[in-house]
Amino acid sequence: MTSLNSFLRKLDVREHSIQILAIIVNAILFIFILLPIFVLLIRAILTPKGISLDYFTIFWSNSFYREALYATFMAALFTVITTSIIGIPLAYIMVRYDFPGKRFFSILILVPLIMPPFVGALGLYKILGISGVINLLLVQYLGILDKPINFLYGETFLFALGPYDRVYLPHGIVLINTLHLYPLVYLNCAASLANIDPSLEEQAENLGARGFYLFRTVTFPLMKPGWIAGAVLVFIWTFSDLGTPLIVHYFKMLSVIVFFKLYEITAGNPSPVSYVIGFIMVIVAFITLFTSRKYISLRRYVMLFAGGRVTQRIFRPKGIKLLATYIFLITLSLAALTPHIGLTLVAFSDRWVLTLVPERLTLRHFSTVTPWAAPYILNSFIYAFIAAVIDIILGAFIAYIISRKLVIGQSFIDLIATLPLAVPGIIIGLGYWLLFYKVPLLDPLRYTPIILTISYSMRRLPYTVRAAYAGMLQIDEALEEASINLGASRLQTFRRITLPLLAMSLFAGGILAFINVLIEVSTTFLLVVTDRYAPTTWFLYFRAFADPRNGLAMASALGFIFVIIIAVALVIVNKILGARMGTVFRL
Amino acid sequence: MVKVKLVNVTKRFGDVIAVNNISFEVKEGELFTLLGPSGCGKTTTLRLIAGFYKPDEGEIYFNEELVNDLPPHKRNTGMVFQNYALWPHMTVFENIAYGLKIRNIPPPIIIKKVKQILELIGLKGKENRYPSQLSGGEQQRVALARALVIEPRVLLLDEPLSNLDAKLRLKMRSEIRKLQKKLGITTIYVTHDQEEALSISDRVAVMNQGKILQIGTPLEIYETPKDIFVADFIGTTNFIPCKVLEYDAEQKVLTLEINGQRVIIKNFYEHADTGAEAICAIRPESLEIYKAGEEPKGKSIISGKIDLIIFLGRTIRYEVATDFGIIKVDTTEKTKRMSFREGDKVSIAFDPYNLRVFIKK
Repeated sequence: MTSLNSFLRKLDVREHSIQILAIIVNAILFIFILLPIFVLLIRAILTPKGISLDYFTIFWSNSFYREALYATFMAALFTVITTSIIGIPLAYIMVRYDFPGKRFFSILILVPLIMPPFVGALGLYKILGISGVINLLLVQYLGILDKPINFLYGETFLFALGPYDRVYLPHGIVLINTLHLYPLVYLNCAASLANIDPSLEEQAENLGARGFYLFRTVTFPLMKPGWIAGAVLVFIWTFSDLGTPLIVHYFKMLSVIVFFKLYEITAGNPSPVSYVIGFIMVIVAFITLFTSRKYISLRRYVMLFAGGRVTQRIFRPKGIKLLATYIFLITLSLAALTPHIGLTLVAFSDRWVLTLVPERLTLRHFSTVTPWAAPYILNSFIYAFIAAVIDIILGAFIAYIISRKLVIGQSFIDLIATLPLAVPGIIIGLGYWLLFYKVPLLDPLRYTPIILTISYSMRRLPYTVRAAYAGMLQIDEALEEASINLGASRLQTFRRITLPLLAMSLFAGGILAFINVLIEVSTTFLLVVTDRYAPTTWFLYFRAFADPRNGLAMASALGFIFVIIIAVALVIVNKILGARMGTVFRL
Repeated sequence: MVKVKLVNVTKRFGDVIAVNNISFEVKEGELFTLLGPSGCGKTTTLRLIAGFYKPDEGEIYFNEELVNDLPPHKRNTGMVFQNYALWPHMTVFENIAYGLKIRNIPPPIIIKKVKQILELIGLKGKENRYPSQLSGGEQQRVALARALVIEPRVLLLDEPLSNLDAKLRLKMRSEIRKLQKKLGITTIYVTHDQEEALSISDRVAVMNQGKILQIGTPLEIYETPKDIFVADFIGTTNFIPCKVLEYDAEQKVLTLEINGQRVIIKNFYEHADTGAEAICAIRPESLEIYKAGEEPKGKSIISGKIDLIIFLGRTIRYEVATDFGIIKVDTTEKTKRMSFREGDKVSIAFDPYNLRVFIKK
């Protein structure tokens, strides 16, 4: 014990209890975030014959898998392009322009955030589907087209790659994800745009630069950190998204292949293809994370998104510019609202076939689905609550030791705690199966609620860590030192001084984690096998949507309820947080 | 009450030596001030005593107890921070009671002690206010009360008055001093304001670049600075270059040449070589100013022209351009005030008794 003491003393360490807690937290993060990733990497290259690339050969030799890889990549790439085309000008307009109705639009354009991803796809069904409203208009009522356009389903041929391979773009997925994800790019761009020192642009203007040239050479390069942060998240999200491909029945995506092959693990005969896909996803996540790590780290996050405001160069557009602005915003808002409108109409319509609007309205879908879904909704809330509580506690502690530099190896914790933002749920889910199948207390098959709660808390941890870290930086260290000086230990100080002052930030982070757990899809679909303990998102797809007679309507009704719940939660949070609402959604 | 002793204490931050081999001893009940410019190491020293830093070398003792390894929350020192560090989520009462609660003092006694100290610092009736509802001076007093109520062994004050406006600073200065004397508590005070240090301290340690240059009473520091830096830092000083003509080691008499005149310094205890360069320091208030030609015969003088006249309230300062640069002369004589104009040719007279001589090494 004396050698341990002198070791700790040499580290100039004050409180042993904090060190021990830090080691425990490190262990938790390692086992539940890092280990699943390692397992995938290792299993992919570890064949019964030893280390080899056999599994990759198996994967590559199948043209279906190859095309799935191309399709997944193209979907992600195109979504980044489309969301950037929307997000960058949108950020510029909202940060630099002032015009009547700006406040109104600023809320409207964030509307996709309250819609769980594949519920949005449901909402678009009746509007953009083959027999949806738009096609009806174009073909039957207006006669512009001969055949309906397949907006949601199918794929578009892009080009041929060599003699055997054809590269397709799943356009429906791109469309749905664009509408859902453009706020990510917008918010991140807006934040970094708002932090540009005006004098940098003024200097360029002074030297003669104007308009688009100024934007291209000065403004955008300075805005890039935010754009990269957003683009990276959009890419990874789309690359590993499971819900949307399932809803539009496009199964030639890597995530879907993993999902369908899961049963092989419980059958005792796991397919090597799953490992390879897991490996690919890990590599993709790491490459994107690595290239953008400067923009996603805690310190950068705080500097960009929780840091000081710089006085803006605000401009009141007139004439053509103003008209263009309104056209852009109105079109975007309508597009963003389409899933919500579609969802609402389907949920309330009794019969809506081949007409522009529902023929009859009814509440029967609600009355059918609500009692059926009630236990699952309850499950979702319980999971979300427990996960949020875990995340608040862990997040506060992690942010505390990182910001006060209390332990060695804190950049390790910093990295691990924000890693889940970029690591797709597919990887976590698959990793947990490989690691914990047949392990007591953690086996997804027999202890679903436990492993599910763990996966939720780990995946949402970055939200609370970031919120807490930003909060910590606003607490003067002298406030804690005064407490220590008066006789309180670090732990007592944390409890009595730091925590109360952090309360608001923790609450904001906790709410964000809570809401995100409610709408989580990937690990839910992978880890849940039976109805018992299943949350709402699982129920929505596997029970409600799967109903042969009324699937779409009931799923829409449930989706509608869910969106209302989330919207109400956000209103409550807005009341409590007031002007600080914005920080909740920045990434 | 407690003695505080530092022996050969050094503290480094990376390559920077913030505190360089310093030693001093603070007596029981003394108000001891660490004085110096920003970055001199005074706050680091205070934090070493509080326990927020550990010395890289050297020892710190409270009485005979070595406290190097004692963590800060066990040292029973009461610290007042520069920005007060009052907890915004607690009332005045809760802020002050905090230290007592941690020590598990029974609630009725806590209430009694807090009320007592509130009365002592003149904030009775404000115990349910929040810090944001108090003025700067009131906040300062709460911070002081919070540190005092736990009856610490040592009171540590880190530039407690620097955030207050000038008049309030003067008032709080004497209040802190009176309180300290009344409670008889060993106090270590950190400031960069030399006037503040001189006015309230029992003894002062002047620091620069991590080292202690001189320790003494305010009078000693002011009248007999050991070092050009100390002479310059404390009050205002004029520096005039001079040359050693002769040093009589038996009689302890130094003969200098200043401005071409022979000046004799008695009771000079430092050896000086003939022909050595030296710097003479003299305070503005020890100089006399006369119109050129009107000076009394037999005094050593320096001639110059008035560059600037500054009205300081009770004194007038004349900045005189001479061959040795600008020399500042202060006078309170009312008759003299009226008679000088900028541009006047003047003679500055001084008494060798008021010179401090620093031989250049």
